[in-house]
Amino acid sequence: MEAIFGVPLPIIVGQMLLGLINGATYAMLSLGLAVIFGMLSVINFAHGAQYMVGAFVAWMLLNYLGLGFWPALLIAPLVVAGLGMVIERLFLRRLYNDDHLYGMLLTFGVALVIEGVFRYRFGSTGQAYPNPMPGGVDLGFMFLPHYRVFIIFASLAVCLGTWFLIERTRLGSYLRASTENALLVRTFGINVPRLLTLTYAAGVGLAALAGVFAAPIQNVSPLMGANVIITVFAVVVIGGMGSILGSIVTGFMLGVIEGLAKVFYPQASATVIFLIMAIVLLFRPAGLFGQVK
Amino acid sequence: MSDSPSRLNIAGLRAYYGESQALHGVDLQVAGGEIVSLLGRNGAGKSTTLKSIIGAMPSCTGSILFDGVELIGKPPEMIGRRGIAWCPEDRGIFASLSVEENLLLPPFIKHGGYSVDEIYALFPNLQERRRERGTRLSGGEQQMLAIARILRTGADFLLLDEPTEGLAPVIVERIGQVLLKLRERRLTVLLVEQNFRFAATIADRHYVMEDGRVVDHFRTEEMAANVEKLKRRLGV
Amino acid sequence: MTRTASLLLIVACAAAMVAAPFFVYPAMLSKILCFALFACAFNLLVGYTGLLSFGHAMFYGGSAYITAYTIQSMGLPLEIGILSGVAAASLLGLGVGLLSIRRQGIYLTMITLAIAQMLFFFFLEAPFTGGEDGIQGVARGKLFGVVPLGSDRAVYFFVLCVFALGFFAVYRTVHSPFGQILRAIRENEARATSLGYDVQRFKLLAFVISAGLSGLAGGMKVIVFGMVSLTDVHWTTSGDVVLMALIGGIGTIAGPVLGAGVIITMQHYLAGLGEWVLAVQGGIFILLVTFMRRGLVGEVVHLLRKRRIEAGSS
Repeated sequence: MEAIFGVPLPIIVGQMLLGLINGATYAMLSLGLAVIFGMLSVINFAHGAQYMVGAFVAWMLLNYLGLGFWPALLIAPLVVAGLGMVIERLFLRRLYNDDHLYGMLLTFGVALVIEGVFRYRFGSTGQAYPNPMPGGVDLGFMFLPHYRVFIIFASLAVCLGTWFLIERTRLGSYLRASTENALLVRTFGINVPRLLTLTYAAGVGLAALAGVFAAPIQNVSPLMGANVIITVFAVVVIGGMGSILGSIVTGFMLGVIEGLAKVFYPQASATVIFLIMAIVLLFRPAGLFGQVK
Repeated sequence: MSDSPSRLNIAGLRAYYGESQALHGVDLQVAGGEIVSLLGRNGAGKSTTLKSIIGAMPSCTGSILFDGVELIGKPPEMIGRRGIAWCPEDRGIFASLSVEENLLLPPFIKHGGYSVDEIYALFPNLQERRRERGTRLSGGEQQMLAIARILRTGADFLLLDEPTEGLAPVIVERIGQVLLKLRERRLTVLLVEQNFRFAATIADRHYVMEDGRVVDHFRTEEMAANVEKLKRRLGV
Repeated sequence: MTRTASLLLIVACAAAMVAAPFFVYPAMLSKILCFALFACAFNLLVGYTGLLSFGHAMFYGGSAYITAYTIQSMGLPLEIGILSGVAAASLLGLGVGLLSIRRQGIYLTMITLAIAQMLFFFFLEAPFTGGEDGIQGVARGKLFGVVPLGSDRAVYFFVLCVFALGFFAVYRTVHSPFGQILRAIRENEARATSLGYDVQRFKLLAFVISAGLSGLAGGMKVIVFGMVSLTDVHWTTSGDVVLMALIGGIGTIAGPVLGAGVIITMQHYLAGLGEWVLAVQGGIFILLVTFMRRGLVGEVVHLLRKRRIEAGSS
């Protein structure tokens, strides 16, 4: 068929593709949030800002050091993860035994500092970042850019790799056991405090990696973090942070739904995820994949 | 006291939960290869003593020497690596891990531990149910799993907190048999118990605690003479 | 603190507030009072009920929009405008409360943030809000048709009266049996439930009161500045009020007032630095949470209590 509800097929598929890309970002970011929350019981408000820094580090590597996209994929997450380690060791680790709300307030402060510094330096306008995989495939009814396909599969690979690491490896079992009884795991001889630092760093690294992925697609701007983080919070509430796979599936799914909403009902597209969150809260407060604790 | 040198030497141990003091000066020794029990009623400070040894108490003063090394002030991971293993009262089986994952979780500490096959030979029901979630096991099976996973690591000084609590007599006997077998492997055990009859069947010596202090001490041979005094202290 | 000491302190503060507009720009003082009321309302929810909302700007700014619209486009008198704003905010508080209290802790916070963001987009798109320009040039008119509010100083005294009413309302709520139940919920919700209290009902009521009073602050804001814009419903405004409560002392009555004063003054003096204000506020957040989470007033209260205990035991 040529059109659904009067909208031509190429536009629908095109929007679904864009939706998948947004979904990939949502999945990676909500995964990072879920990992940090699972281990540290902290909602990392700075996640959006760290995503933005990842994109900026990639941009800076290119414009100051001449290093392109592929080295940036490795370097940017490591740099931002290092930043995360410093934050955890200096500030976050003092708050583990306190009300969870303080962790959120602290990371909110971190987000403000990061965003303030970058907005001061770069203003609110975006910087361009070149497409590392230009060109695409002509499918007849639409044009499929190489880079966009790459992102979707790369994000999926990273998400599934993280899932594998947590659910199927020895290190992952240390992490899962520590969320239940950190003291006992320490008595086995495992340095849980160091594990917590590394987990925060890894979650932050995931955010930064998502930022590098996003850089060629949208303008690298200091506002990109704040714009996305609140949506990701809604994604997380919808999915429930009970399972890793749940976060991944919810992220991709909501990206697609948002993309389709843009086609059929553009005014609501910015809010459709929040509307879904309201509905999920009414009927399944623990989230689609959550467990009521 | 046996001829082997003292492995654990606690002197003047005082421990605090925040502002309240739980231990008021505990002294005890455990020699290598012994099974020693710590008896007393609820709240006497027995679990707190074990927690102090393993580094789980926020503030302690005094001295806990293990193989000559001071343990107070060291983090739990460092104490665990010296070969001390802790089985808490609630057994600490992880719900998000399978029985086998629980068993394989603690890392290798030193040589002399049991191999997986030896463990499954000692605890055949754990092998049967190894793919189930850890917390699906019965209380007795969870206790065996808690002991089993420590045996794999090669840890040779066990702190057991009320292993027989809430278990049927048949299981209690089984656990007793396992603990006696451990002595053959030269493992040392400090056992916290309220069930003094069980303690008498496997331990060499007994300390009695009351209000955060050690108030009595006797060998198993002397238990019969001390039974009435003991029953009074334990409130049975 | 002894009764006479507290009474003297209150009288001194009241005197200072009455005298202030003759020494300091009344407009800035009015702004501080608006935010002080907003912060007190917010503190009712976080400090006394233990529910952290990160989207409180939706009540403040939402009410501001309604107030501005009713006064300017519907031509209603300013008292009606303000009351409409309060009513709208309270209703919104009811709706948001119903959704958010279905989860607890950080989930509740994320939900309030998400709903506030959704409302932000609504205010961005809705025709009556004027979009990016907001609603401007709202006339002050006459209070009750009689008292002219032309001068900044007159407005200040009007705002001061409303603030005093609002503050008194918070004070009475906190020191009532209702307030004690809220505090019990904050300490240990399970225990409050086991005592037979309908915890969800109380949380909802706290939400509505907090939203309504925030709405009152928002209505005041429209009278003082004659305008409302998207900033008033933006998450940075929500963050501002959290910071005010934190710096003053979450769970103290006077803390949020002090916090509002500190933050507004600081923003005023740092205005020349542009975006550095965000970074500075973030830095203050971090330092407060790490080293001084009781806030300024909270630390003072804590010290006084400690000294009283030490004096009592010696």
